[in-house]
Amino acid sequence: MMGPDQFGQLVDRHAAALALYARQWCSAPEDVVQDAFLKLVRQAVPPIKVVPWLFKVVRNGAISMARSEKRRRRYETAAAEELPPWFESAEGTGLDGETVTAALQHLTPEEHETITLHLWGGLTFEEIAQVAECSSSTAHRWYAAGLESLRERLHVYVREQI
Amino acid sequence: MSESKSDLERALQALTPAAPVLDRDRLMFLAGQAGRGPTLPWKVTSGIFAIASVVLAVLLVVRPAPEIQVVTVVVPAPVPKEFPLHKPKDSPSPEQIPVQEPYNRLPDLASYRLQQQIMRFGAESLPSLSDPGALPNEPPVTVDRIGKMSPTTTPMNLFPWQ
Repeated sequence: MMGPDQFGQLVDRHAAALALYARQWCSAPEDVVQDAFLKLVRQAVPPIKVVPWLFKVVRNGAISMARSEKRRRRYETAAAEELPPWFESAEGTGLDGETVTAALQHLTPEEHETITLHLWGGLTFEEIAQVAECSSSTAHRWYAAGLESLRERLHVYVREQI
Repeated sequence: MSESKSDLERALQALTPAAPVLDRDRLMFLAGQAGRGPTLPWKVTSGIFAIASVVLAVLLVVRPAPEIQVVTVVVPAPVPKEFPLHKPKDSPSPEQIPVQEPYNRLPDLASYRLQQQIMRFGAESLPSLSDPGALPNEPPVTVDRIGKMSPTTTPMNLFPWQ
């Protein structure tokens, strides 16, 4: 059984990455993340690997939420112009959060998913394969392709900035 | 190329995902509630017992008076089994049983009374042979004669002094 302190640390450490992961599909990632944490608490036997399990639950919840047409359409039409910020502003990285967000949205869903899971979720490719229900080599291939696409887009962006 | 990839990965990882609008205190509260375990079975059980209690109370109040029913039950009489005849092993044979003499062998009444007379008053009470009071025609009273007296002769006649 997970204690309150351990649960609080888990929330503080992974809630942002989980929400970023859920934003790929749904308009209300906070609800999905909260449900995932509550499902974790209700588990009679806690999962062996908690973080991949959380990403898996968030993935299923976000996809289910995306299937509710009304909310999805309302979100797409209303929020198409003003996207909420996906990243906090980071100085000294040479990258802008909004630019990275826009670049991520141009990736395929698989590339977007593997990059989010690996870079901000901290999952290995084996764990990504379990979450995304694919082989680890496929996950690695998607990641490489997505990263190459990002590099091209962000390189162009950096060039334009210069 | 791999170096540029690594640089890009580092730059992307430096971006911090935006913190979700997650009410942490509410999440901790809900997690505490969810961690109590399933309460539905207890609620269902309590509801069933409450309904059963109400139904039983109503039945106790409105139940009709019990009707007396006379039921005749024919019970067949038990068939006695054949009892084994116990023959005592050491029972004596009829020849071995001593024959008791009957108790009703009483002495003759006259002689018995004479005997009682003698024992009570002594032999002197007997009339002597030369009794002047004796009747001249009658033979003297002797023991042998007493035994031969007719039943009509009462002791009062024999002993006039009494």
